Amino acid sequence: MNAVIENMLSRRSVRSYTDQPVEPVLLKTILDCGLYAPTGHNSQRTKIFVQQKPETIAALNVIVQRELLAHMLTENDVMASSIARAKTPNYHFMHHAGVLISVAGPRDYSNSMAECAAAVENMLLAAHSLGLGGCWINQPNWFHDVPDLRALFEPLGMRDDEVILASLCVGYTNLQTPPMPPRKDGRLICDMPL
Amino acid sequence: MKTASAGTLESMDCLVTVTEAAPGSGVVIELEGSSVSRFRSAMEKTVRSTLSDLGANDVTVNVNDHGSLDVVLEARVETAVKRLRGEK
Repeated sequence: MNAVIENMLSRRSVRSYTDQPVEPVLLKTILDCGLYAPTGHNSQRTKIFVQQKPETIAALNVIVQRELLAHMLTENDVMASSIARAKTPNYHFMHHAGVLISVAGPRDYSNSMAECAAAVENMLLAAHSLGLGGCWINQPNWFHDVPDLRALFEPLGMRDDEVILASLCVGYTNLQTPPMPPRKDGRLICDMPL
Repeated sequence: MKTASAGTLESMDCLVTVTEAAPGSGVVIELEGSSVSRFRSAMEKTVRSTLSDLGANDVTVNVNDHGSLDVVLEARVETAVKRLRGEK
C-alpha cells in the first residue's frame, strides 16, 4: 500500500507517554508538516506555538483542571468526559506527554478553525509516521480566552486578535498500537456506486 | 517615559505594567493586590529573575496581582517587557 495512505489508515490517538524527550529534528519535521497544511488562498495566517518547558506545562495543567472542575455541565456537553477525567488522581490534560503544540488563527476569520485543524491533522500524521504518538488536545481551544492560559502563550508572540483553535500533544509511548476499530456504518454516502 | 503592560485584573491573573527608567537607576518593583501580603518575597524574586533573564536592568515594574501562578506572573512580566521594547 502507498506509505502515506498506510500511515493515515493506521494512526491512533495515544494517551500514554514515556519520559523520553522528542528529538528536536523530529519535532522540527512535525512542525514543518503543520506549516505546510493548507490555508485559504495560501494566507498562512495560522501560527504554531510549541510549549515544552515542564513548568509551563505544569501550569497549563493546573489551569485546565481548574477550569474543567469549575465548568457547569449542560446536556450533551462536549466537556463531560474531560471533566470526569479531571477529577481523577494524577490528572494530566495531555496525558503526561512532554510537548504541546497549539495552532492559533485570527479570531474573526471564519476559516480559522478549519485551518488550525488541518495543521494539527498534518502534525498527528507526521508524528505517527516518525514512530511517535500524538493525541488531539481540545482544552487549550475550549479555554483560549481564560486570561492566565493566554498569559502563557503571549511571551511566545500570541496577539490579542489570535485564538488557539486546535492542539496536539506529542511524545514516545510504550503502548503497542491496538488494532484499528472498524468504521461505523452509514458515514460514507456516494451519489454513484464505487 | 515609555510604558507597556500585560495581563488583566481578573481572578488568577495579574496586570503587569513596566515603565522604562533612566540608565543606571536600577529595578524598582511595586506590588499590590490580594496575594501580596503572603507572597511578597516570592513574587519579587520571580519578577527580578525574569527581568534579569531579559536583561531589563533599568525599569519600574508595577504588579497588581489577583492570585496568579508563579509561571503566569513570569509570563506577564516577559510580555510587558517585550511590548515595551516593541517586540510584540
